[in-house]
Amino acid sequence: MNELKIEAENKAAAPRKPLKKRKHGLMQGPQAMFFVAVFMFVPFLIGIVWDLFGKFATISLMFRDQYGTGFGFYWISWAFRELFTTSSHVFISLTVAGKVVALNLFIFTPLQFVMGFFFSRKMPFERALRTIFFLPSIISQIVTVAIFQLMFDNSFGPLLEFAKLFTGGELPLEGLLYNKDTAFTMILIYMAWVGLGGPVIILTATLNKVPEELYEASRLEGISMWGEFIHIAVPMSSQMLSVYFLNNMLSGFSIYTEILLLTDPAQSNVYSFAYLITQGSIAGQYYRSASIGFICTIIAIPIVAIVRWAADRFLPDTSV
Amino acid sequence: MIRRNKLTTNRKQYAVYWIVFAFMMIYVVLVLYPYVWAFLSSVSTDSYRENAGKLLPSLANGIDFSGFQRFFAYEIHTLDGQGVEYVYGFFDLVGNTLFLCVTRTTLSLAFPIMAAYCYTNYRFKGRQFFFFYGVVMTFVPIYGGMSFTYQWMYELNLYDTYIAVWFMAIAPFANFLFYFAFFKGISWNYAEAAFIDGAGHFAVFFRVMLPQLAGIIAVFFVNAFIGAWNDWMTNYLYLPSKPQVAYAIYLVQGEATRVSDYQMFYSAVMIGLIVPLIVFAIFSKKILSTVYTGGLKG
Repeated sequence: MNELKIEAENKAAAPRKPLKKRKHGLMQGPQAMFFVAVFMFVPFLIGIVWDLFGKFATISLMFRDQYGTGFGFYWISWAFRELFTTSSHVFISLTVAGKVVALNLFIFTPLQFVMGFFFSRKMPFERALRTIFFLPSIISQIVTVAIFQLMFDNSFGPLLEFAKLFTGGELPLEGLLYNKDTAFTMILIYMAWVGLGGPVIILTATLNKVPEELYEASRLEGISMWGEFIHIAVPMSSQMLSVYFLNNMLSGFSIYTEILLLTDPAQSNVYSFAYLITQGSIAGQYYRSASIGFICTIIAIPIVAIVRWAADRFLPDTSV
Repeated sequence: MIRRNKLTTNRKQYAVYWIVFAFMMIYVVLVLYPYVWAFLSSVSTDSYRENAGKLLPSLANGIDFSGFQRFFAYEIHTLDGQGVEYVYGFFDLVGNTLFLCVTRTTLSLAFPIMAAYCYTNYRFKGRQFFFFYGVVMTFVPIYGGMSFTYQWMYELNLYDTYIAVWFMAIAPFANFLFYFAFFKGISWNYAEAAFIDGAGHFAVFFRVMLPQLAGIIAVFFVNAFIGAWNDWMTNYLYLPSKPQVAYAIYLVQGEATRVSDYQMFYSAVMIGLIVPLIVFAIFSKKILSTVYTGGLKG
C-alpha cells in the first residue's frame, strides 16, 4: 500500500510532460486546403516563376557562347577582361561603386548616425525637422532630379555662382553635369541632397529604443556626451548598423537613375553597373548585361556573407 | 513613460549640440530651397532669362499660372509595340496613374499579407521550405536579372502591357516578415470563436483577422501608393505607351527644354509634387510612426 502511495506521490511530483503544442489552423478538410492553396501556393508559385526561375535563367544567360546559342564562357570572360581594362565601362562602374560605397560608409552613415543620436536625445523643432528630413523620400526621383538639374543649369541656374566658388570661378562650357571632371561630384552632391535625411529618421527610431536608464546611469558615472555616444548608442544599435553597413556596401551597384537622368555618360564618362545592365537589356544585349551582372554577383555574395558572418560573430546581440 | 532629459548641461558639450543643430538647419534649408525656387519659378511672370542667376525668382510683376494651364492642355503622344499611337491629356494621365497605383499597390500588399497569414496560422507540408526560401532568396543578390526580364517579356509578348506590370507587383516576400510579426501578435482565439460560429476560412480572414490590421495595412498602402505614384521607371522600362504623371514629367522635360518653355516644366514638376505632399500631409504622423516601427529591429 505504501509503495503504491509513494509511487503515486512520485508520479504527482514528477515533472509533467509538456503538453504537445496544439497546431492551430484547422488544416482538416478540403476547404482549408483550398484556402491555403489560394492564399499561399498561388502567390508562392508566381514568386517562384518570377524570382527563383528568373535567377536561374539569369545565371544561364551568363554562361553562353559568343552567339548565345549554347553553353560557354565567352561573355563571362569578356566581362572579366573589361573589369581589368582601366578604360572600360565595367572598370569605371567598379570605381564609381567603390567611391559611392566609401562616401556612404565614411561620410553619410556616420553623419546620419550622429544626427540620429542628437534627434534621439532632444532637439528643438524635432517634429518639423523629422518631417523635412523625410520629405525627399516621398518625392519622385524624376522631380528631384529635374529640380537639381535646373539649379545648376548653365544658362540660368541660381546656384551657379555658388558652384563657381568650388571651381575657381570657371564653369565648364558643357555644364557641370556633363563635364568629365565635375559630373561625378555633382551626382554625389545630388545623392547627399536627397539621401541624407531619410535614414536619419530610421536610425533615430533605433536609438530612441535605447533605455533612458542607461544614459542616466552613465551620466551619474560622469560619462561625457561623447562617451554616451561611443559606449551606449553605438553598441546598442550595432545590429542595426550592420544592416546599414551591408546596404551601403551594396548601394554602389544600384545607382541608375542618377546617371541616366543627371548626366550623359557618353560625355561625362560616368557609368554604373545598374546603368550598364539596364541599358544593355533595353538594347537587347542580354548576354552582355547578364555577364556584367555576374561580376556584381561574385563581388556582392562574399560581401553579404562576410558582413553577416562578422555581425553574428563579433557584434553583441544588443539590438534595441 | 520616461521623459528624455536634455542632452547635456556641460557648456562645451552644449556647443557641440548647437553646432549639430546648426548643421541640421542648413540641411533643412538645402532640402527646402530648391522646391521653393521651383514653385516661385512656375508662377513668376518674369521669364527664366530674367530670373537667371537670382537666388529666388521675382514675383514683383505679378503671379502667372499660365505654365500650369499649358501643362494641363499638353498632350503626350506614345506608340505601342504595334505602332498604334495613343494621345494622353492631363486627366488621362491622372486616370492612368490612379489605375496603376491602386492595382499595383493592392497586388503588392495582398499577396504578402495572404502568404504571411497562412504561414503564421496554418501548418502544411512545405511550410518550412517556404520560410527558408523567402529568407534565403532575399539575401542572395543575383544581379543582371533585368536581362532575363526583358527577354521573357518580349518572348511572352508581355512588354508594354498592364499584365507584365501587375505580374511584377506580385512579390510574396515583400515585407513578409513585417506581416508575419503582425499576424503573430493577433490571438488565434478570435478565429476559433468565428469557426465555432460557423464561419469559413475566407470569412475568418476577411471579417475577423484582417480588420484587426486595418490601421497598419492602411499605412503600408499609403506608402506603397506614394511609391507607385512617384514611379516613372516602370513606364520607362516596361510600359512606355501608357504613361503615368511621373513619366509624363520626364517626357515633358525634353519638350520644354527644346522649346525653352521652362515655366510649363516647373508647373509639371509642381504637379508631380502635389499628390505625394498632400497624401504625406494627411498621413505624415502615421507614415513616420511606421518608419519608426520599421527601424526597431533593422
